[in-house]
Amino acid sequence: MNEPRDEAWLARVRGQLDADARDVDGATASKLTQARHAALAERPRARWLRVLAPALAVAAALAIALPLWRSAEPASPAANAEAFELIVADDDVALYEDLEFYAWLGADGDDADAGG
Amino acid sequence: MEALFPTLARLDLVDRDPQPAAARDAALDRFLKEVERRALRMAELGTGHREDALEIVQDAMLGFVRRYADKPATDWAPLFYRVLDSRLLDFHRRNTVRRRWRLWLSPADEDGDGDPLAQVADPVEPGPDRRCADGELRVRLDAALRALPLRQRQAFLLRIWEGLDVADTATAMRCSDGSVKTHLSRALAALRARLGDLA
Repeated sequence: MNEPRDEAWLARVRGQLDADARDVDGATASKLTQARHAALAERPRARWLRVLAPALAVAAALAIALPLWRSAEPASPAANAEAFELIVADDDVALYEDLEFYAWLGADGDDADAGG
Repeated sequence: MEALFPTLARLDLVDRDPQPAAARDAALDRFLKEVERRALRMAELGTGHREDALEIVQDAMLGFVRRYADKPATDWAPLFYRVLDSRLLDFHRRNTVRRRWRLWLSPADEDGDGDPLAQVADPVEPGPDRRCADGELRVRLDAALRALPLRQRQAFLLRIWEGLDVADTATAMRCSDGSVKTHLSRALAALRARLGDLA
């Protein structure tokens, strides 16, 4: 395709294609402009921000998740030991053993107050 | 943030583009404005429908800006057409699958006689009036280009119309330089046979 005849042929084809591309109606031209503007609005931010964005997102997620995780964490061994001591302490066992007597005493006292 | 910049630069996280963002946006706008109508024509030849073509061009612009806006401006043309070519290939693949399903679901329509879509007028077909007004060449060229296989048509349009060199055309079409030459040579032979001398 290097002969002058071929060049003329190609020039005609190019000319026709250029004319086709130029002759776009107003509605289509407007849609193309809108598409271009929409695409330009998607222009990526600075590269450092794009690279660091996932790291920043992870850091933010950790900042929220860590306190929640710590609050849900079981009590420390020391706190557990304290609770265990309270459970097994036998200081007031006598009170619980005589619970029925103290209930009767309380009820009797109330009746006496009501009667008096 | 200023103090952070040397560190970011060492990590290659800072744009080394000397153009400020506003100038780059303006350059991108100019580039897209320059190619959009030719891209639309290419997409129209590939799809046969103005609306499909518009959708493909819009998608290509978005993909190009998202992925390649930071590349040097000298690389934009092959990269833009690479995205466009990829969208056109996707369109053709989807259409092929759709056609196969249609044939599988109604094999009696294999010859196309019963296909209602075959009866619908081509919206891009100019019609007799416009054909007279615009001359015969437009119609003949349009028909000849549409008759070409997709890869041959893309090679012809990118090399001959868009003026990309062989390497850039290969980048746009994601193939080797040799494939570009083969597609182009076949396209030229087919077009010459169909269009004649255009005298």
